[in-house]
Amino acid sequence: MRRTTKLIGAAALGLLVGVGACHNDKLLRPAALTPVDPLFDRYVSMGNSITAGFQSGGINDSTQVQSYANLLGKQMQTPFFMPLLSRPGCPPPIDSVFRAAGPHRVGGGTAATCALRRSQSIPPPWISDVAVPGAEVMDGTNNLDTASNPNTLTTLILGGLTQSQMMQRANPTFVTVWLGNNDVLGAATNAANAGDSTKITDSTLFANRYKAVLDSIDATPASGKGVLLGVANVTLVPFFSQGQVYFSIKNTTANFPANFVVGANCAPSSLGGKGDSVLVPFQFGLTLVGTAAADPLNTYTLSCTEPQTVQPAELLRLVRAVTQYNATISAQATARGYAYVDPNALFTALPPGSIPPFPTTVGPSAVTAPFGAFFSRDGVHPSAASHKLLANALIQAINAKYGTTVAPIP
Amino acid sequence: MRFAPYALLLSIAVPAALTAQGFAVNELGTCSMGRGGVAGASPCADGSAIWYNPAGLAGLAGTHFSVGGTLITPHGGFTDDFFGVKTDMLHQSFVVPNVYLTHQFSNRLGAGVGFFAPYGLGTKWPTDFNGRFDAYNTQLRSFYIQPTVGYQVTSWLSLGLGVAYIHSTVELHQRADLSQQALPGFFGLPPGVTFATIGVPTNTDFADATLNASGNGIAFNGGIKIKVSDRLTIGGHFITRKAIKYKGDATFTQVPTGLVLAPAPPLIPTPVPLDLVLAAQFLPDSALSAGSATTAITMPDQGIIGFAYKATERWTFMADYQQIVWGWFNSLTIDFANAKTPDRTQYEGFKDSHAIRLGVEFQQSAKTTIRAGYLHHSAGAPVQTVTPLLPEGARNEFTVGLGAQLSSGLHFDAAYQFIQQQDRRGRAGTTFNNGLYTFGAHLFGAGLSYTF
Repeated sequence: MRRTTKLIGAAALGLLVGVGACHNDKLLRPAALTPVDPLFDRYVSMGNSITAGFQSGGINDSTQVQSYANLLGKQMQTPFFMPLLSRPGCPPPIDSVFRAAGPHRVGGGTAATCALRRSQSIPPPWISDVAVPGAEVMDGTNNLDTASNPNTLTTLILGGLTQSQMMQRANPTFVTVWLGNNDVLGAATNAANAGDSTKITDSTLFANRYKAVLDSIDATPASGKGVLLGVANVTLVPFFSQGQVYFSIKNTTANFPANFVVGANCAPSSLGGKGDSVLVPFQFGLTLVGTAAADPLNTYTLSCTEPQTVQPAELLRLVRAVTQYNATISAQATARGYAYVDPNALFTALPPGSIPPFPTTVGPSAVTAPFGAFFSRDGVHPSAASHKLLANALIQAINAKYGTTVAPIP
Repeated sequence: MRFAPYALLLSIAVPAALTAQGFAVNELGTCSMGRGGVAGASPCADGSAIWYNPAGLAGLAGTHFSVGGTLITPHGGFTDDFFGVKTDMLHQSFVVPNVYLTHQFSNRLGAGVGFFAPYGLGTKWPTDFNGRFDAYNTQLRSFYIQPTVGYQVTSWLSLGLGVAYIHSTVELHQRADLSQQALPGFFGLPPGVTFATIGVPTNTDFADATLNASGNGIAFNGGIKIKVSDRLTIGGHFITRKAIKYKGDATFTQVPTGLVLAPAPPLIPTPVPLDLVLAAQFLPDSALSAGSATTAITMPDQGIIGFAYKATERWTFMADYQQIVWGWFNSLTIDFANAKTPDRTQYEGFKDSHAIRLGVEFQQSAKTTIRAGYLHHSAGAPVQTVTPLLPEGARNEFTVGLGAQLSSGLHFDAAYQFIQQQDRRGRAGTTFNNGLYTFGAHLFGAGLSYTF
């Protein structure tokens, strides 16, 4: 009997050991969800139009996935959920700028066309790219204040939340923040008064609002883990051409109609003008050129004192605001332990001519890349090539700061 | 505004099983529990043959009255792939009762009545668990009252038959996700567009749904027992399925979302507090007003066949094979009386589960019996429907038990059972498997039986 009892005991023990040793690799977290470093378990990007993937005056699921944030998420090998917008977009991106009938958008839509969020058979458990086109720093934490700048995309991307709230839903382990561009861009590109200084966000307000955004991150595991991007010098984008460029084209080529006149005040300072410190938005300048071409019997003059141009004093204020903003952002990055990336250094390091001084209006390039390879068809928002550059710059900064090994995009 | 059917109420039939395949409960007698639930060929002499094999009533001498119960303390959790966070089930304890009364009317005829609960479940999760949209509190109870007769046809063959009256109750609690609901007709948007398409995030609670319902039914439980030799007996039972039609009340309580859509002319001229818009749906005669609802859950048919071999005067070895026909449970439909609340059908796709049970009894003395057992069973839920309602999977279970004769008529049984479910991937709040379920339980059984 004792022997039988021992046998039963041994059998039971063997069974237990066998069961305990049972292992199934299929139980493990899928490899597709395993990032290159635990730091990137859940990466969330806050920002505005560039971060959201806005290009060529529009946004849809095609431009969204070209965003540097999405590219970075892929390199991190982390689940990254974009709030994908149905095609043709909201609004559809411009696919041809310089047409007699005006810019043409994907699908023949207009600037008022807005497709909704794309239905996704697998609903995203959270939104990784919470950036909203048009957002100023203020909008990071508040969409309903009188100083906020909500638009249709605010709802389509955030659904009644703020960027901070949506970010917190992801309980992120890593963040990037690129807010602040619109705190000066709206002033620079204002159609009625380009460079309108009253539309520049006060630097103290900017600092307080920016800190509020960072405070909201502090409530998550991503506190002190991420990258803060500086504000872009919006006066460098090819949306603007210096007045002296118009002056030069007029006086050295026959590209402009004869009845289109460029005022002497658009000459460079060396010739007694101020054209090297006045910015002419392409929509204003080229509309004037087009009007002249269509009406050869009348004379149309570009004066570098027009309110639709950025005047030298306004230009200085814009640049000063950017400098002040970036001082704030850089200091906050240092104080809170984030990496800091200055996007302006990236773009000023491009080879000469990469940012064309004047858009290409004729020939194949007028359709494919009127503002050069690094900017999309609105002259403001970076192209897919620039997003790749941005992503690689971020990867470099992240690896340097956190000792990670995120592979650059080839 | 048409709110999509509530998966909550649909998930009724996917209950988290208490202790066995699907939501079956096999611990319906403490003596049997101690030997791994093996009783197909040789039911215990406590009247539990009424469940395990009605043929066992034939030849069960005297009059027996037994009362027992099994305390079940499950534990488990879900580890989310994305967040890497484990959410534990809320602690619950259950007592599954069993009462049996049998009487021998002749050497060949025995009869009795039993009260037991062969199907049930109970799962509770925190209300911040992503699986709350599948279910966060599910309670299913099915009580059987089964008059039974057993008749010895020949010296080697006994047959038995019971007719079970079933009373079953179900209580379900579930949150509803606003992002999956159809938008109302404002904003000039086309019909059928969901809140998700205007950006409302996934897993936005806006309603808490509850269903309380009950139903009744009849099932038949037949058994056979064949005495092959003085040492070897084979036998088993088969109980028919019954689709219980539940009728009850469905209630919906608004859960504030706090969402305010920012103004965005011309689509949204002014800020839109969504809670105000949604509140109208909870008013009487609206899509989410309280009302009656019906559904049906099948208590599946199941069968056991096994043997008992009395190796020596003291040692008896037993084994059972059990199959539960979960294959009948392919879908679940909730029918809301409120015409504005669309009915819904949810895929379940269960498959039959199979169990092997091994048991041994050692007659330590005239008054003391020691028991042990092991069982393994496969899962009923397919990979697509492993949810908070039924985080079910294949299991290994180990049992020990003790029987003691306290007096000439009074007998006491005690048993312990440990359940270890194999970890299994499943889903919580998604339409794909997004994490790992773990589950286990400790069971403690006790029973008293008196022989007149």
